Amino acid sequence: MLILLLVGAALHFDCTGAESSGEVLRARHVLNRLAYGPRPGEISAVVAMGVEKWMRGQLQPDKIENPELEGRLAELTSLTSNQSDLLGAFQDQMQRRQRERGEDEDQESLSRMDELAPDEGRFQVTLALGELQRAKLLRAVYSERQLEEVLVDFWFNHFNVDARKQSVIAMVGHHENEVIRPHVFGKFRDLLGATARSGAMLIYLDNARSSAEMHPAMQGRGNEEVQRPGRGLNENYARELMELHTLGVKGGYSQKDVMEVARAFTGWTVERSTGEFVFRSRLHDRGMKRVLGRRIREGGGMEDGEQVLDLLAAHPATARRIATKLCQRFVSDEPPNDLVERVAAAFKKSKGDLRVTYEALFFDPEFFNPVHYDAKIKTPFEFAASALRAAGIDLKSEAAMSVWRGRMPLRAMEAAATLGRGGERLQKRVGSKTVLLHILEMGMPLYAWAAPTGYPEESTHWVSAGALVARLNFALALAGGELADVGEAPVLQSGISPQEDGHDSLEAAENNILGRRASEATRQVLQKEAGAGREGEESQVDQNRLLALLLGSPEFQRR
Amino acid sequence: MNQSRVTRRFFIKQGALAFAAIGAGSFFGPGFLRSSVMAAENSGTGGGRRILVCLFQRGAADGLSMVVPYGEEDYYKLRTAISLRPPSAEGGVLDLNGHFGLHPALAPLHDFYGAGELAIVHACGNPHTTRSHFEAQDLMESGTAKDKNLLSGWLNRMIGVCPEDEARRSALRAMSMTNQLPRSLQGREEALAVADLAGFGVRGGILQEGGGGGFEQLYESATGDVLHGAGRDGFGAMELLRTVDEKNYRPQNGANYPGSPLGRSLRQVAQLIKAGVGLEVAFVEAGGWDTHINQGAASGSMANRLADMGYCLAALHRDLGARMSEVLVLTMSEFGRTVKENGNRGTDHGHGTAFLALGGGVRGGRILGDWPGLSREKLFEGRDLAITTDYRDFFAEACVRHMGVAPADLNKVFPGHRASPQAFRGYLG
Repeated sequence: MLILLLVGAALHFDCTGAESSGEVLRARHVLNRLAYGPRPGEISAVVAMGVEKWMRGQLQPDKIENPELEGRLAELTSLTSNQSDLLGAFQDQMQRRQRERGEDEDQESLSRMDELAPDEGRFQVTLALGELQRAKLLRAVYSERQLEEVLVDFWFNHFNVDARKQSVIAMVGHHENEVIRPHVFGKFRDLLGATARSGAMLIYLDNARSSAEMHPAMQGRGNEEVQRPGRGLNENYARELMELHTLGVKGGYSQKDVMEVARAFTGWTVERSTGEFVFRSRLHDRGMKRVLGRRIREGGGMEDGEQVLDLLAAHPATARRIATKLCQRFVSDEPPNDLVERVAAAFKKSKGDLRVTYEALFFDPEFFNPVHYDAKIKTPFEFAASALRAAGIDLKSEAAMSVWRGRMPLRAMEAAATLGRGGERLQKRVGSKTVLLHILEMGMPLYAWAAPTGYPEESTHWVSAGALVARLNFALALAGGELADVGEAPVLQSGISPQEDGHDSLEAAENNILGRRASEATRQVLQKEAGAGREGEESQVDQNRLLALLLGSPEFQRR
Repeated sequence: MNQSRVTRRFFIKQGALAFAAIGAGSFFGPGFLRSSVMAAENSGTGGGRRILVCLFQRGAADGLSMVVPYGEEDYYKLRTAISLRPPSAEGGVLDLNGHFGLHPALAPLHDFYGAGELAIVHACGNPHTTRSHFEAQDLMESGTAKDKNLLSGWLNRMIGVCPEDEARRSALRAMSMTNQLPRSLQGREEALAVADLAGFGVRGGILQEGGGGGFEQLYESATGDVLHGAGRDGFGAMELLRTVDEKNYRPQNGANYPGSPLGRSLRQVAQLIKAGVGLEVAFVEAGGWDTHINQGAASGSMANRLADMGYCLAALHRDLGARMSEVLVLTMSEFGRTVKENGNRGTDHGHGTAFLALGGGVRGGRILGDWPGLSREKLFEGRDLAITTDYRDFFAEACVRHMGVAPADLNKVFPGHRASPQAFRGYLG
């Protein structure tokens, strides 16, 4: 049984009055930005270690032991299955469907759980997506390498793919863990190059089907039949490569540049059975190209694309765009211009060394300007993860969930719900919602965001009446023991009964969940609620009510 | 009980303030109270506002089976097992104009066509669409041809440019009867996804019955924070929905909604309209249109889907009675299906399809738009019904002629598209 030290940890704070010390606030700030929020006692631990030392440690994740996370991930066996096995299962399933149900050329209906029979082969792919979602949640809550997880999230979002498109579902795990993760502390050019070869990206942005336009001499002679629909130049990847991955929408490229870049990447495609990158020279346009004024000689092959990536990675507009996005994620929606310039300069000077770029941002005095504290509104995922951390929740493994006796693994059902099918059925089966279903209800289907932009960095996207109601329901479910994968209410230590000494316990609760004192307005409501239990009611219920209110408070929606 | 009393008190207090504010001619009170007042106001007068209901047929509905070109030889050449027979034959289509006929399962809609309340725009869709369901749905809901990076939806942007009486703006102005907010309604304007009216709210548990309570006060007092507005709208919506008793709803005029998900959705839409809670835009959806195999003809899987849709719309029409004069229902689907049937007696992903407009204000009984025909050289990419009406012109007509959007604002609703009344097909006059 879990003990939440609502009161105990607060004793470590040396804040006796309303004001917390600057160092405490700095520790809280870095835990909100470089991590998924503070766990009980963690703010004081970071203060004790020294804020800067903690940050430097997070920048060297290889040196951080991570036993708890590794133990929890062990249950998710498909995390280690390789891409070609999953593609094989995906294609088997498609063939079976074609035999049984007729053609589905876009191969998108896998998600319909009502069509999935309970033998293992049939939900292998959906299960892999579900375990990837679960792993993302477990990593955010339990990893000691918090900054790495925040950065993987950031860069995945920057190089977004959508699991709902064709075979991307079988490759999205590889995209995150083999393409993105190894490079988040490396060189931007390497990360960019890896994403350009990612099977998921090649399918998602259609470069896999892009090929040289038919030579004019071949046209008009009945050869159009050969050029099937869908063949020919596809500029989707080329456009997003410049607009989103590198230069930015005002990065100074033209429609002509888009076409030229698309030509340079013809032949960059994917081996359909393995998901491995392959360059097919017969699809490649060997003519001369001119990109952003730079000439790419005719007769080239795969190196045409590499040259484009070199050019884009080193372009000043790219430095500025990456700096802007990092500042939006880590500082505020509209970061100060001179800060962006300093971060962009570090990116340029280091030739796109990402660790150096992060250091320039995190150790800039502007980073700790208190005006940025709590300036960001948490995404639903950040909100859920930070709430689970703040309350010290022990998420149950599927094996430990006695309530669960489904034919299909729970994680596969969660993935199916994310893909648009069967959420209600899952809830009915389990009795209450899992954390993932709550995140979905708050408006954030993981790995299933259609637009290549990724989820918006702007806070306003996450502020709406319906989403807020869903957040409050999550807070209530968590505090009330109604999360399917927790199963019981957090047990709070009742050292000080609120009836006897309401204020002190309130202060402790605020410090533990919010990491600081609540606003005066919020505190008044909390004070009233803390003692609002009916007569004869356990004070435990008051504590849980307090926890729900704190997690649902406006303050806790921010980071 | 304690909690719900607090809620009530906040409601009444704010409501009283709102009345005062409106009396003074100032409309800048919080939306929560505006909506509350509006509800009070509206339920007395019976409304008068215009309501747009969008029905998305997800999965690519076969327009050629909905509105059948039975007068076309090529139709019967390309389709055998799944073709619908001419009106004269048993189980044949219901004649519309001597060339087209309505699927017999859509019999309830045939009456509306005869009464001039149903118009059809055939060969409609997104000229730039892909053959991927999710991409095509996304683009259509975004209201663009191919800009995948436009994150807001056309309905949301439409709400942004609708002329509005600030004092009447409701927290339930835009509702989707789905679990997730569809792309069509995502964006800056407040919109709610509520699949189940009775289930919406902050569910009590440890906060006791009545919902909200402490949360409501937390957000009420968070003035100056953007979250304050979301809280205000969220609790405003809950308060309004509390006045809507979903379980005991009795449809009027003998209307009988099918027990299907679509029936449930439209029943709730009707209930919201009648409750006078300020609904202006409603979104509903129906699935099951991806008929790759055994699509059927006069009976079968497609016919079942159509029968459900027809009966659901008929029930809505009957239930709303005279209020249908304020209501416009549009149907839409991400693309149509191949003209030729496939080897599994089904159809694959195609291009143009049929969009419907139903309502008291519709100048119906007509099939609008240019009919491209089904001869091989007229088919899109040699296989699909070509598109002669850009779906945005179909939507834009509703924006301007039903919702009162100024034509000059159409470029905000459909950026990158030259939408103008000249391109309207005229289903609203």
